[in-house]
Amino acid sequence: MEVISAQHIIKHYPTGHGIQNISFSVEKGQCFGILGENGSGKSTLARLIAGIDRIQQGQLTVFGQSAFPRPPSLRRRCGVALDTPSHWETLTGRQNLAFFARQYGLKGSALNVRIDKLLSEANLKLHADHPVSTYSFGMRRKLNIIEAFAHTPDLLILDEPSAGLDMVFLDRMAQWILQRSSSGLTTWIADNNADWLARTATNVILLSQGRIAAAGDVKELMNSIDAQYRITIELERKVAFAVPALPGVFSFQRDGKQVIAEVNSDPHLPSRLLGWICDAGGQVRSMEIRSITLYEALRQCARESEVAV
Amino acid sequence: MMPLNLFRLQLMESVAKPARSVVRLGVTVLLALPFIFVNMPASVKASGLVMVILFTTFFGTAIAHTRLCEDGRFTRLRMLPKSPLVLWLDLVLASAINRIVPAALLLAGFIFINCPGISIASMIYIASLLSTVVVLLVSLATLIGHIARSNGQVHLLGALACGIISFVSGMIPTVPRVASLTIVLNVNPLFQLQAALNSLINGTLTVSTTAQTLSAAVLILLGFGVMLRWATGSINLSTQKN
Repeated sequence: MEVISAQHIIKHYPTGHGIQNISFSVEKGQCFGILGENGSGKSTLARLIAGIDRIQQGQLTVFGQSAFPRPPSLRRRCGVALDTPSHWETLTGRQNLAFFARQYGLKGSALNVRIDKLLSEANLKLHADHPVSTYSFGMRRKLNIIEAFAHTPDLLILDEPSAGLDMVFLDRMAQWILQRSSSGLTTWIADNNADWLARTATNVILLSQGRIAAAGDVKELMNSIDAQYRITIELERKVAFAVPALPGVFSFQRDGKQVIAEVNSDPHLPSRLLGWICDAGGQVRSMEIRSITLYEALRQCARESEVAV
Repeated sequence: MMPLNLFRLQLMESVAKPARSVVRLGVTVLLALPFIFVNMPASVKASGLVMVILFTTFFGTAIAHTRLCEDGRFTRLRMLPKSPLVLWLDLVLASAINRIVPAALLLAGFIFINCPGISIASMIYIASLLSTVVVLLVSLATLIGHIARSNGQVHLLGALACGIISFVSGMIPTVPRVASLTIVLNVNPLFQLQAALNSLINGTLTVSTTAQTLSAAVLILLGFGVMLRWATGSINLSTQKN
């Protein structure tokens, strides 16, 4: 079942940023991740899907209904946490959370139980009865996010959820999202934290200047790319290298005393690369090998599709 | 206490910081002091007091609403599964209560000092006019606060709007009355309040039976609306999800 359907949607701003003719669809139970640089259109897309702004061209539907304007029945099925937390500052965290949860139909003891559980899991219980004006940025973000989670919406829209949050809460949020996916609930996340997104998202899109640069299923994407590892080598002094003609090396960048190579999963390749650098006159100070991140994988796909074009 | 709906939320927020309420009342009283205590013609006293109510109510509401839009709270309200009409009514009603309280205290002080022998019927009439004036001004100010995109813009638009309201309410004595303005004045509660206060000071205020009934109806309606929104939770206009 299609939860979100975007067909050739366009949204321009006078500043030039926006969304340039993109199409995608999100199925029930998916956790759909959007990655992209600042100004790539992630937040614009979040606002369009949340029904805050209107598209200028194309067709955007949520649960089969027009995304904007949307009736209360459709709004009830969605939970939204935008990138800027906003609250009634003189009221307490508990009062703010109660207000939002109440508007989505939670009431009585169920409301109180849910509020206590969420505050406790977000580690906000100690501060629950303090005014929000006394909260740090991270605490406000947590409150904002649990307000969106409170009524267990069919579609949860999160814009930059990992910004300003501690690792413990990020882990907790990842668990909640995975539980949502296994329960058939849909989540839509725009974020810059590719590592965190790789843990939660089932599908992902890389946005670049308002266009889709790469897209796919996260697992398939990570398995399909050629370069699986990234090797960073620090040299004692700057050396002018040529690009090594080693099979399995897909990219080779030099930046001062640093060399970065993206390579395949051949276990002998790091030692071969080191040997090649030493032969070329380089003295190695340190070497780091790590798996390619989701963001790098998407960038790789984007590069490959550009080459194919 | 938990805010069950937007009306309660807004009211709870306005009383959460007593200092803010004291400042709001203090500014209103300070502006009105000359019109209460200084000896001047009744018409100047009446229009001066109404002008203070106009400016404090209008600017206070419009600036508060612009802040609500600027910091993203209004966007969050728009996403709630509520009818926009219910949200607007809650916003207007809560702002009206916030603004009626200082204006009513001010008016009570004014009447106590300048016209102590007021009848119950006149009191109800003045109270209903004040309520109508504040609700209308708050509605208009909310709209202006919504159109304005920044603190600077809301001050500019607010000043323009207050100038126009003052003109169409007959509060600018230098402007010669035009025929069309007279028609507007007859249905303008701001002018009616000003005229009622003027008559009250001169001891010539008479309230007809129709006006008495209408005044009582206005106050009952407003009181009922306030109690209803305070007591009940949010009105669920859509079906509840399990």
